[in-house]
Amino acid sequence: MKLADYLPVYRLRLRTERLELRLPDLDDLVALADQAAAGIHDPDFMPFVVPWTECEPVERGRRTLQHQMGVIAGITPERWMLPLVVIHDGEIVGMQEVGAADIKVTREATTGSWLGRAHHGQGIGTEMRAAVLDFVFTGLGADFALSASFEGNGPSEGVSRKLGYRADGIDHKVLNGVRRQDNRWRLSREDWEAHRKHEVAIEGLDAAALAMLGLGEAEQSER
Amino acid sequence: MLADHLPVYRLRLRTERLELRLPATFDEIAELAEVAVAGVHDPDFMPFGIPWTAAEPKQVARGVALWYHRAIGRWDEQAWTLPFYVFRDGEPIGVQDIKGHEFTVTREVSTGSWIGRAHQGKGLGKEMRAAVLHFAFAGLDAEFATSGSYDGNAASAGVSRSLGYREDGIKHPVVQGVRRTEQRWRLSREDWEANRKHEVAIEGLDDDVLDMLGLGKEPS
Repeated sequence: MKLADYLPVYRLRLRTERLELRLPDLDDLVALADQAAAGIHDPDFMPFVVPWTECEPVERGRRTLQHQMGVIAGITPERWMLPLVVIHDGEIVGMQEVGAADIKVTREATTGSWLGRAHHGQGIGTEMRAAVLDFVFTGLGADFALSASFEGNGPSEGVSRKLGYRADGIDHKVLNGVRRQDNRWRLSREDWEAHRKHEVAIEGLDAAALAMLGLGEAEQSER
Repeated sequence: MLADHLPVYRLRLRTERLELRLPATFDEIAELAEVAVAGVHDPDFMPFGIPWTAAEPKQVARGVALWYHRAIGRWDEQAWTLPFYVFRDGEPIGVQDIKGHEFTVTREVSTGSWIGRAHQGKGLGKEMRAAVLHFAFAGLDAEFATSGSYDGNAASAGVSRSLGYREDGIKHPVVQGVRRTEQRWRLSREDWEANRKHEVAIEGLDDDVLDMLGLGKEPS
């Protein structure tokens, strides 16, 4: 048996013009931790709700590894997150998460991502988001995709706007004792279709993988 | 007195027709439970994210009583829920809660409410919301108040609109196995001021109460 026989989501591959997205094996995780250790954002602007990057490089790498493992360990059909690594020219450059809760009913998924600083400014963020959007809308048949970015996070907001998301209200979060404005973004299937710019190929999304993501045939036929 | 130990029991918000305060006796909690049993909404339309009204009368009543005790029992200066009972002519008619989460930093509250069916359609929902908004903005110096209403809950959306709230995106909660659309609402201090329609008097908001709400003065 192989890992994917037990955890079918490991079969998934999303491919775009320049990128491949997949769940990481242990070597991939180390390469991802290296990206985190090297730095993923301007230290003067914290883009994350949990300021996990405020630490020494080695600790940042460790947190990356443990976060990935924890997220995979927590996958259930009712609530899951796939922490995909992003590969560009054979190198792991960042991660793109996609997750959902009760997707069979909500038909809604959420995404989050980061990219090593050396790889910013090349349109990779847009291309990797486009990859998981295709997965969400084409692969999983969702109606909506959600994202959020702190006020001032121009690149993340730019990706959302470019791909057709609309503003969906705000939240106030407390980060290091300071109030921050989190802008919510919502993309409908219709707006997604009108803004598709990337060709995406989905591999490995078979019945077993769908079942692991709460979209199994058995569950569907209950309704 | 209880208020010596739990100063929030001193609070009174008064409007033209209503008084909002915490229940003074267990009997008042029981009376409100009976109001809920008599009906809170059209059974064909569930206005709540937690469908506590879709149960046998005994469970509905117990739920009302437990909810109140839980709000007080889980008190946290950094994450509080003030479960105001709404009284008209001395009788409890519903609940108007107000929550603060890290309020000292966010300066934001959220509110939720229900009112017995016999008391609906008289503008009381708006009056009780106006009372806690006054408490938040004038009493606690809040900058924002938020609310939410499920699609089809025209009464709740109407209260929010008429008090100046603006749309703040949507949510898709799953309630009783079905996807519902919840409209989020947000009221800024500026919009609150521009849409004030009710006179509200606040009593009992002293330093001890502020302290319980996380707004105590720093020890010098």
